Amino acid sequence: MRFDLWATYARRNLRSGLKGFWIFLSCLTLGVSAIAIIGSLASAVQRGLDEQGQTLLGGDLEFALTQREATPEELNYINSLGQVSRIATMRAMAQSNGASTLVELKATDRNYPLYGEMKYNQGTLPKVSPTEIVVDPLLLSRLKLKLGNQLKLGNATFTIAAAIETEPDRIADGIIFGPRIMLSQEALTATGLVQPGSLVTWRYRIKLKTDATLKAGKTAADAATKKFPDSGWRIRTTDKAAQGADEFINRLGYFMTLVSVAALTIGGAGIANAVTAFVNRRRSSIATLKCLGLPNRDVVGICLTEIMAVSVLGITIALMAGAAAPYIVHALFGKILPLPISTTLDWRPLVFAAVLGFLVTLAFALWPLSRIANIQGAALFRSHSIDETGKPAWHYVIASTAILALAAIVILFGFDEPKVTAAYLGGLAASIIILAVLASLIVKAASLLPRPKNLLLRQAIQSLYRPGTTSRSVIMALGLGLTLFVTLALTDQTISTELKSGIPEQAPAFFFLDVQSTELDQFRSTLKSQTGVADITTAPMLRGRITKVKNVPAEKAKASSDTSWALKGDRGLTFADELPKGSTLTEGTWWAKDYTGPNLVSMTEDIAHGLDLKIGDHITVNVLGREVEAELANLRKVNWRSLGINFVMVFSPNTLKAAPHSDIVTVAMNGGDEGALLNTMASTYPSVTAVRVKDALATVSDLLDKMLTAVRGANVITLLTGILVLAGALAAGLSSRSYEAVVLKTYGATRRQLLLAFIIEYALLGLVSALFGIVVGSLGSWFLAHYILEMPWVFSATTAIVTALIAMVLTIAAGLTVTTRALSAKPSFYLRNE
Amino acid sequence: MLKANSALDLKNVKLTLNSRAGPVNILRGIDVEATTGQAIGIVGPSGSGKTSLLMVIAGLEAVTSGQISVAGESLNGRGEESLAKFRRDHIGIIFQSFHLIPTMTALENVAVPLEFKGVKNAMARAKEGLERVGLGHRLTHYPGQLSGGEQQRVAIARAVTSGAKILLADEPTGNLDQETGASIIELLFELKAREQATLLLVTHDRALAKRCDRILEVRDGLVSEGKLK
Repeated sequence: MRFDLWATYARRNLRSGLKGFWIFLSCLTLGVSAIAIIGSLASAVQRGLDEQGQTLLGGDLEFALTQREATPEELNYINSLGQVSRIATMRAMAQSNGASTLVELKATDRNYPLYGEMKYNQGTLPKVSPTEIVVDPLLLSRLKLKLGNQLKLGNATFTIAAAIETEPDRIADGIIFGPRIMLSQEALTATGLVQPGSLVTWRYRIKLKTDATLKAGKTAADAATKKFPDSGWRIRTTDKAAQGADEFINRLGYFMTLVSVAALTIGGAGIANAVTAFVNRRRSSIATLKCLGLPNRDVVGICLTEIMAVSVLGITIALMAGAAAPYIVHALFGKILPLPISTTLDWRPLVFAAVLGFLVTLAFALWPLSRIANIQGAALFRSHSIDETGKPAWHYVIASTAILALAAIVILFGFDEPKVTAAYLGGLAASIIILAVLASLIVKAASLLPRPKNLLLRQAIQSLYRPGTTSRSVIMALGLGLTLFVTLALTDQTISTELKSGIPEQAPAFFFLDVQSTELDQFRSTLKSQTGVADITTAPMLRGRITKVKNVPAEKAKASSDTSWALKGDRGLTFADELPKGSTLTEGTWWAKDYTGPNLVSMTEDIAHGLDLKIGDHITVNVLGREVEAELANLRKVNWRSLGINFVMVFSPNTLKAAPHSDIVTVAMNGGDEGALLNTMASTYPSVTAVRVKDALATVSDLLDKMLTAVRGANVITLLTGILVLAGALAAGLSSRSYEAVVLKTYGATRRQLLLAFIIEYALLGLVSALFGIVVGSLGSWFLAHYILEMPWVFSATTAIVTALIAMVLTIAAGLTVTTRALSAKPSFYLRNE
Repeated sequence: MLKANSALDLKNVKLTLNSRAGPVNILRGIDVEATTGQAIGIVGPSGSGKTSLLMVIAGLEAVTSGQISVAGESLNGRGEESLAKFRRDHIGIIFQSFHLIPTMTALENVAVPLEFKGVKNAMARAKEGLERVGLGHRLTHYPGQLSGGEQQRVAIARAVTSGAKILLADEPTGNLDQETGASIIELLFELKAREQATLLLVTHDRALAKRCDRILEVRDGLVSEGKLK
């Protein structure tokens, strides 16, 4: 190996500039940029969340209890850790001028916030008085209120003192369904909303006395868990400040990276075409070097060094874009984004992108470079001959495959979900192999067709299989591009449908929370008297946290990635003597109506399977500070999309009946005025919280909307890559095409005839590629919907076909733009040189 | 057994190439011997096999049958890498279309074989070579910046400077005007004499062929000794 000489010769060749490398550079830069930008942004948000963990959590540590306050013993312990801020959060109805709306209350004490700063539209306010509240500006517009107006919460009326501009620990509360109202603890007591069984969360945030680090926070959390193993509190440290947002960003980043990997792989096909074109261009120089006595190995070495040197440029540009992305997003959108973005450089996503870029370049360049072996020095003695094709040597094929396998391993290590990622990469590899085989079969089939009498059709079909044809690479480029495009279009459709699916016909219009058991009958009769009420369902509701699975503490219990959420935080629990509506029993038996034996529980089958639970196994739930152990009696399948009342865990009544609880009530409406019903119920039962299903769905839609934007962004990248790859595939055959066109024109073919032949040829290639794109793209979108987005897959034949056709027409137009250059070739140029 | 000063020894060499229409017999049993320092003109009609003969001698085309030794080395049964090394050490080729590498300067083009031989002062020797062909003032020019005659001078310098003892010239003046062609031939013979190299010169120009020590006439893939006068 003579690396120094390879480098010297590569440098000499590159002195003349990057002419002929633009498609190669664009394919590589686009794919690597996408991965680098997505990785950098995801990391910047992740680190933003980590760096501002204290502010976002509102402390170094948080102890959260549902439906109960800390016991004096627990409180003593909490107070011993440092400065404490006590916060209560709950949902409630706010009323003003006869209108009412769901709000999210947050009652704070004088120590709030321990970190960060509350900002109001009037600057920093002194602490609000017990008769005043501060509100989200959204509430003002929703209820047509101004500062200084009155607002009723439960039994008390308050003056609106200010509008909230920044709530530093807003993200720690996850998704909230109504505008925020902040008030003092005394004010919350005055509302009378806190009743036994009310869904109040009590949060104790702590600013540690000395060592305010994450490590110290975790140590304190572990010590608290050991000291109070049965308290049922959920302890969060600063790294868990924004768990919901964390997971959303991770999932979105994962999805986008997988799409970018596909775009880079398709770009790989572009790289292969560009390297083929490069080898064809250098044919004469390569033959000259061979005549001068250079072994094939050195000639390949020089060309590979040259290509890798150009790839360094492309990857550097991509990494610069990736590194700059967080700074640009922070500068342009920092103020309006709900998530913090760190502006310190993280090299890890950049290294990931660069390694993938180099591996893909190397793997896809080696294959066409192996054809250098077929270029003989004797070529210099022959006049214009066909570009060398032929099969690459086996050791190049092994090397390319090994490098791609290495790239797959790098991707697998980059994500937490190796099984899904492996399946995705396997599907991608299978698509490429199937497409390559299909392309060869089509070329073979074209050569076996009888020769049509029509000259243009004959010309078009012969072009598919003539020596030096680019049909295979065009089918590969079009097929892969269209596959990804159809995948994304159908994914777009899946998300859009999820957005629009809105409310199922049988869905309730309202959920009423915190209905006290004592007022349940009266509440039902008031509801019944309202116009439009079609159906009322009720269920007792408590909050509880799974603390043990088969006697193993929850934090150590094994859970599949899609069920681990069930072990984090509180879950709604209920008890019932009959199988709830919307549920189907899939295993085990339901308990008798007057059952009084040992505690039993019914679980949804997906969660039970995810936690590896079988009938007869035990789980322990902490309800209101009490550990409740129950045996798994049966499994259910739940149709969550009906939006009816349903719970992951339903206990036998004897287990929980004695615990203080409130009830949840759903109301389905058939006509009638939802607004009027809401106002009546809110004014009659001020402590009951009404969640309007339409409003709640709108909040979820907002998240999906963001995901849709990402999918559309990915579509643009794919389209650009597809066009570039196709242009590359066509450019590879441009020189022989030009020569052929010149000869045909010399013998009387008109420009129109040649153009028509090209159109027929590309339409044939496009048709085959589109069919492949529709079939494999549909499979791809099913995979993404099922395993990554976890949404019901939507297939629309119209979307698939129209997308494939539009993309096909666009790409063929791009192809013809390139090919018309061949038609414009001046005969004299070629003929003089022959 | 090869003679001590044997430059070429071809015995019953046949070359058959496969085409779509079937196998084509290009060389049909050639016997040629040459001693070191000889200049041999190769003449014959188009398609007779002149260029193929050069390619066989350069190791660029493997013979179908027969024995071939060039510069004292047998070429039979050798692999591509081994033949590449053989060319690097013994052969200098001059083409009708020059075939310089367009991305390299004149100096770098001449230095290629020297650098790949591992010659330490490759650039200095390439510079000397270019000065010898009268292009000392064109060292940093690219092929595109040189006239046809100048490009062919660079190609001759490249062939000779590497120390090749067998020079193969395929219509070296075919792309040049008469005057420039004449000066190129002068230069070629001068350098051939100085380096004591063996020259095989393919040409259509019988007058030019007569400047050589021998003439080989190629017709229908067979060789016969031609007359000088």
